[in-house]
Order: sequence, then C-alpha cells, then structure tokens
Amino acid sequence: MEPPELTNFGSLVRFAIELESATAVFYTAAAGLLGPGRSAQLALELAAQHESRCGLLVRTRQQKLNEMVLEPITGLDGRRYVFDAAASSVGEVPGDAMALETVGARLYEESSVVAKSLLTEAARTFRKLSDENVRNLAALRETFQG
Amino acid sequence: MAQKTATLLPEVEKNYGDLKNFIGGKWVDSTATEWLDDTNPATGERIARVPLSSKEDIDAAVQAAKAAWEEWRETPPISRARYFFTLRDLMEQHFEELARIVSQDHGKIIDEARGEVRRAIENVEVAAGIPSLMMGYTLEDGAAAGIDEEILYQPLGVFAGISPFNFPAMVQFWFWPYAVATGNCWVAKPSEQDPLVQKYVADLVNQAGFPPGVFNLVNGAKDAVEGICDHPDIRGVSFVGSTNVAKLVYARAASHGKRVQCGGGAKNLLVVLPDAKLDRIVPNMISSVYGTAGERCLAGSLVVGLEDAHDAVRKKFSEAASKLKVGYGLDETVQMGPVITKKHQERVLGYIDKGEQEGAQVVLDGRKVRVSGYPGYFVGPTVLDSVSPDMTVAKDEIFGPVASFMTMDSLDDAIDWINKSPYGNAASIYTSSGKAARDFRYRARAGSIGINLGIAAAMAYFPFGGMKNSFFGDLHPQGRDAVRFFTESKVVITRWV
Repeated sequence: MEPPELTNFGSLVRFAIELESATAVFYTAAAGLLGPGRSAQLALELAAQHESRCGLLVRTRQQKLNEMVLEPITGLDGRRYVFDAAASSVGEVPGDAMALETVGARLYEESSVVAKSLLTEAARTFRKLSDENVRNLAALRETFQG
Repeated sequence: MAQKTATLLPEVEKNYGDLKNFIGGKWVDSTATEWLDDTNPATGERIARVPLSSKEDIDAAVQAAKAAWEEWRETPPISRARYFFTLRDLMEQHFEELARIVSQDHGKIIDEARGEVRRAIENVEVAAGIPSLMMGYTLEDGAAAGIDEEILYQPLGVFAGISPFNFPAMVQFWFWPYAVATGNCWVAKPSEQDPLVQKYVADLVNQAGFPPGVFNLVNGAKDAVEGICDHPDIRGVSFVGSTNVAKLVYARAASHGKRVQCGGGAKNLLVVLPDAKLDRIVPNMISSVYGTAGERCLAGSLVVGLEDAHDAVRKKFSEAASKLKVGYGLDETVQMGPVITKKHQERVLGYIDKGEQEGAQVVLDGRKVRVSGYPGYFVGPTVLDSVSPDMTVAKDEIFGPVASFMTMDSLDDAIDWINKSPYGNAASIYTSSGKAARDFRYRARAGSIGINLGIAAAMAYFPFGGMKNSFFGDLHPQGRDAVRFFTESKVVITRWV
C-alpha cells in the first residue's frame, strides 16, 4: 500500500477506519484458516472488536471535533503505518496479526500526541485504542506463543 | 474532468436539479422568473438551479407560518423540545451527507464542513432545553404587600432568517431552533450561492414531524430579502452577511417596526507578543487565516508581531502556509478549498494585486495556484508583508486566504488599532503573559476575543459576538440572547381581593 497522507483530522480518522476495517476482515479470514479452537475464537473476538472500533472512530470524527481548533496536522509520517492485512496461510496468521496490532498501537499512540493539543477528546479515544492494541498483542502472544 | 483519488469522498448527488421552496410542509414551485446557477466551486460545474423567488413566494411562506402559529405557540415547551430531540437524532444519522453537501456546494474542506454541521447540531441541542431557557420569574409581594409580580416570556409570531454563503448549514441554526422552540414560526432564506444543505435540512425537519408551516424555506436573493424586510406579518428578522447589506436590512426591517439582529463584516487582528510559543500558535494562526479559505467573519486577516516577534512569526507562518494542500474539499487530505465563486475569486485576486501595487511585499503568492483536475475558483494561501495602515488590504475585508502582516510598536498600539477599526467582530492575542492577555481582553473592543486562539467562535450556549459595523442590533444570535430576541416579555401584577 501507499503511505497515507495524514494532513488533517479527517484524513487521519479515515485511515484509521481503513486499518480497523481491514484488520477485522483479516481476523475473520484468519479464523477460517485456523479452524475450530482457542486461536480461532480469539480471532473472531478480535474481528468483532476491530469492527466495533470503526463505529467508535466514526463517532469520534462526528462528535469530538471542534471547528475552532481544526489545525493542519504535521508530524505523522504515513510510512510508519503502512500495513498488510492479507491473511495468506495458517502459519503466517500469528505474525501478521501481531504486525497489524503493532501498527495500530503505533498509529494511535502517535496520533494521540498530535491530537492532544488540538482535540483532547479525540486524543483520549486514540489512547484508548492504542492501549487496546497493546492488550491484543499480549493476548495473541499468549495464545500463539504461550 | 476531475481526477479521482483514493481519499476522495463521493458526492451525495451529482446534480440537485431545480430547487423548490418548502412552504406549509410541502415542496412547492417558486413563482420565480429568474434562476441562478449554483456551481460547485472546485469543479465550476452547475449542480443546481436556484429560483430567485418573489415577494409573493415570501408572502405564501409567511401565510403558512402565520396559520401554524397559534397551535404551535399553544404546544407546551416540553413538547416543542421533543421535536428538536428527534431532529437532533436525524441530523446525527445524516451527519455525513450534510457535511458532504456543504463541502460540495460551498467548497470548504470536509473537516470544516463536519465542524460546521456539528455546530448546527449543538444549537439544536441547546434549543431542546427551552423549558428551562424561557422560564420567567416571579416575586411574591413584588409590587406591594399582597400584590405579586411576575414576568413571562412569550413568542411573537413569525420570524425570518437570512443567512450567508460562508456557513450554509450553521448560521440558520444560530436562529431558527431558538425561534421555533420558543413558540414562533420560521421562514428561512438561505444564501442563493449555496442553498443545497438547507434543502436537506428542510427534509429532516419534515421527517422530525414539525407541524406544517412551523418551518418554511424560500430560495431567493434581493427580492426575497426585501419581501422579508417589508412584510407586515413578520415580527423580526435575523441576518448575517456583509456590513453594507446588514446596514440596509437593519434599517429597512426596523423601519417596519421589526426586531432585527444583523451580523456584518469584519477585519480581525491577530496580535503576537514576543513571549508567544510560536511552534504551538502558528498552526492555530494558519487555521484562523486560511480555514474556510478565509471566508469566515472570524478569520484572522491582519497579523501583527510585536517587537522581534514580527520576523519570526512571518517566517514560520509563511513556511507553514506554503505547505498547505489546496484542492477539492471532498478529498480528505486537502487542507484548503476554493472560494465560493469566480466573481469572488477575482475580487480576492484583485485585493492581492492592489496590495502589491500599494507597496506590500508578496511573501507568498497564491495568485497562480492551480489544482490538477479541478478548474474551479482557487486562490492559494497568500502572505503580504510590510502592509501599512493606509493600504486597502489593511482596511477592507478581503474574505479570502490572505494574511496581511503589519508592524506596530506596542500592545497599546495594537489595541488602539482594534478600537479605531470600524469593525468589531473579533481580535486575538497570542502570548504567555496573563497580564497582557487580561489587558487585551479588558480593553479591545471586539465581540469575540481569542487568547491563544485565532477563531474565537462562541459555542451554541453563548451569544455570537460582534460590535460596531460587525453587528447591528442588541441581542445576538445563539444562547440566551437568542431566547430573548425571539420572545416578548410580559409583566403580570396580581392582586387577589
């Protein structure tokens, strides 16, 4: 994928929704690849979670903005958030999943810093999502590596 | 043909056809004999035709409003409020469509359009608190022993609102939710340059179940405005536009005995003190000057860096401005859209030319900006330096993406400039000094004061300011001022014998 242009609040949230949506699709496909069991169950739970995060991001874009402080965004380098959400084989699912969660955690953590001085409520949402990514990573490690 | 990008949002409709008027709960044809093309400012393509409705059309809307009024005013405030809760939910559901129509029709970027629709919704939310907001008060033995005194706030009848092109969704909402929530009926006349979002709003109002005639919408221009000002059954007029027209509307409507509130133009100063945190404030100044392509009555227009702040601010500001991505507002990565029309584009470009001819230094020149695939009305971010007080660009409202940098010796000089300006809409100071900020707030004669904030736009529960030639009237739009504007006070003195 091309690195996203993250130039303002709308483009940032749009990209985040793309990431969440693609991640949800990835986990759904991964659950199919993994077959019945604890791993597939976790994949389905994470698919639902990422799908629901799309809704949260849409609400954030709609309700947590204030046109008074809609300043241009600088300092987010789109190359740091390039992701690949294709679930190709059972063996690659754990690594791909962790890569996606890592990109998500990085995007939201860094976005929360940028948004902090502009849109405090949006920054809170980003922080919450980043924390959730970190927890997901731990759950993935425990399931696939533990 | 416009180039598609991955970040380009789809338009709600490509073409909205010939617009109608919404009168008595129905869409009806205008009697207009003249029509105006409504163009997408980014593409230059016609996206609708706007009827220039006649005084007869205004009269039809007023008659519908008048017929609805008695029953509406007798509807208890809590019941009236419930319509607004429903409308609020509908606006949330259709938020994205509303914002995209604003962007398509006005040209502002989608983030700004979303911000505008958010503000419209916030006014609905505040107006939904009308049972508390319009309560009167009472005092036992207030007149004498055994004689009580109370005050009631009552609706007057039919009001009308005339709104400008720069905030096609929001400005009508500064007025009508308060007018209708307090028990009046409404006739809206949106700007003929970008009326599409109000068409969509009228559909939502209808879906929310407001009784027919409570909210009406007439598309038009000068004839419609004159029809509103002169109509004997309209009790009051709310207006926002240029100072010249605001003065005319104020005088004409008032001469017919109406209540009038008229917002006008502006020429807002941003003052930067040497102790300001430049890295932090420059993005905010950029947003103030170039947001909505400078077509905002709160936009920063003149920039003054005091002492050694001038050069540092101008350099950082110009650098940041030069990086702004200009394009079609529905492309989510774009940071500044076009201005509203070809005519307005020529006007703004003319001001830049004039500034240069009069001796200003063009530090950043937006005159040659072109956007690939979009032949619309773009003007790039422009920075003029060495602007002196006698120059046209220092005095006139440009209403475009142009920052004029001036030098002044002291904060006193800056405040003096603000106070001598014929306009008094807004003024901002950037500083780390509480003393300087307090002094500025206390002394600057402008209706909205920003402290480390370049767009000091009152939230729905505060009145939207404006002094001198920026506002004619006494009670302002929004909040408690709006509730008072749309109600008549009645004192009742009671003695039981």
